[in-house]
Amino acid sequence: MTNPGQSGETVPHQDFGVYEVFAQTQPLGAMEWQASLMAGSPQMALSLAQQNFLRRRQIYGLWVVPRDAIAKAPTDPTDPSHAADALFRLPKGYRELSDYHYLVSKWRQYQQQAMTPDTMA
Amino acid sequence: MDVADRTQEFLARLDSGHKIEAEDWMPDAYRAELIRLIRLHGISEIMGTLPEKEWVPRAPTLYRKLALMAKVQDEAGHGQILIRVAEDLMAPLHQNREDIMADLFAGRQKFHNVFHMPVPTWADAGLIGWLVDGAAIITQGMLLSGSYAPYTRALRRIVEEEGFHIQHGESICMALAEGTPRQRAMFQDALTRWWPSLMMFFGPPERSAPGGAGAGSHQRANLRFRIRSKTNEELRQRYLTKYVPRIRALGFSIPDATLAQDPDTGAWTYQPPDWDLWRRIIGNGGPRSADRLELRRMSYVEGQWVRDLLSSTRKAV
Ligand SMILES: [Fe+2]
Ligand SMILES: [Fe+2]
Repeated sequence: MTNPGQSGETVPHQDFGVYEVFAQTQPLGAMEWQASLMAGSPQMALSLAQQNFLRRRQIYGLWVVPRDAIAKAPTDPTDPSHAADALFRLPKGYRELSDYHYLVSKWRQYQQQAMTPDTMA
Repeated sequence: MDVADRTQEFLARLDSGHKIEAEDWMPDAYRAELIRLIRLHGISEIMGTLPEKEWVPRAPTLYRKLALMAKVQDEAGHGQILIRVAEDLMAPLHQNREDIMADLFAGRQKFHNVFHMPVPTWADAGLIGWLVDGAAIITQGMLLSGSYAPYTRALRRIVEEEGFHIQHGESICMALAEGTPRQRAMFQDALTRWWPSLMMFFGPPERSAPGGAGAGSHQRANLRFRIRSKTNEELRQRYLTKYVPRIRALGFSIPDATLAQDPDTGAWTYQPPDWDLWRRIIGNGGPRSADRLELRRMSYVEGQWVRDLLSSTRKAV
C-alpha cells in the first residue's frame, strides 16, 4: 500500500481486535474501566494501555480484556431486556443504608440517658 | 414504534438529561453528527502533534524539551482515545481508523485550521500551548456535558491533561513576556501572525457560515442533539472575555483596531476573519497543509510493517 485511500475504494483493515482496559489506581481500589484500544494481541494491548493511558499515574493492577469476552446488559432503556433497571423491586429501602440512619440518633439518645446524674447515682 | 416515533422518544430522553451509550439505538442523523465531530476532533489531535513536534529538537532548555515531548505524546494519546470512540460509532458502517486515515490522505477528512499553519519561532510554539490549547479547552469544556456518554468520558480524561498543556504554554509565554526586548518582540510577532487563525478557531457564526444554511446546520443539529450546548459565536465570545485581558495585561497588542467590548452587555465586536480563507485552509490549502499531510502519510506507509507484525494473524515479513 503506497498510496492509501487515493483510489477512494474500501481499504483493507488490519487484523486488530478491540480490547477494554481496566486499571486499579489505588492499592485497595477496584478495577476500573479506563479506555478501549485496538491491538493484535493481549501483549500489545497491555503495552499500548500503559503508554497511552497510564503513563501519568501510579497503578497497582492492569487488565486488558478482549471486548468479545464481555457480555453486556443493554443500556438503552427502550430495550425490553434492559437489565440495569431494578425499580420493580420497590420499596427497596430495606437494603439501603439510608433506611437505618435513625440508629445513629437512637444510640446518641441512649448514651445521653446513661450519662445523666440520676442514672449515675 | 416507527422511526419517527422512536426519534421523538429519543429526543425527549436527551432533553431529560439521559446519556446515550454506543450500542443504544440512535437516529442515523445523531450517529452521523457524532462521527463527523469526533473524527474531526481526533484527527486534529493527531495532526496537531506535527506543528509542535517541529520544536522538540530546538527547545531552548532540557526542561522545556521534556515538557513539550510530554505534551506532544498527550496529543497523540488524545487522538487514539477519540478515534476509538469514533470507531465504535462507525462499526455499523464497517469502517474503522484505516478508513479515517485513507480519507485524510485523500483530502476527504478535515482537521482544525490552526494545524495548517507554520510555527516559525519558539514564541509560536509557546503561543500554541497557551492560546490554541486555551481555545480547545473552551470547546472541550462545553462538550463535557454532551449527550453521548463515551465521548464525554473520553473528554474527561483529555481535559485533565489539557490543563497541563495550557500551563506549559502560559509558562513559555510568560518567560518571553518577562524577557529581553527581542523576546517580547518575538512574542508580539507570533501573536500578530496567529490572531486571525485564533479568531477562526471556533468556526463561523451560523449566519455567515459559508454555504449558508447547510454549513450552519451542523451547529443546529448538534445543539438539538445536546451534543453541544453553545454556538461557535458564544464560544468565541467566551474566549475573548478570558484571553484579551490576559494578553493586554502582559503588554501585548492585539492586531485588531476594531476590537471592543460593550461595557453593558459584555459582548465583543471584532474584525470578522476571512471565512473564505478559512474554508480554503481547512480544505488543505493552508501554508503547511501539504507538508504535514505528506509527513503523516510517509510515517503511516513506513509503519505498515510494524502494524503487520503486530496483527493477530502474523504474516511473514
Ligand atoms: Fe489534546
Ligand atoms: Fe492539548
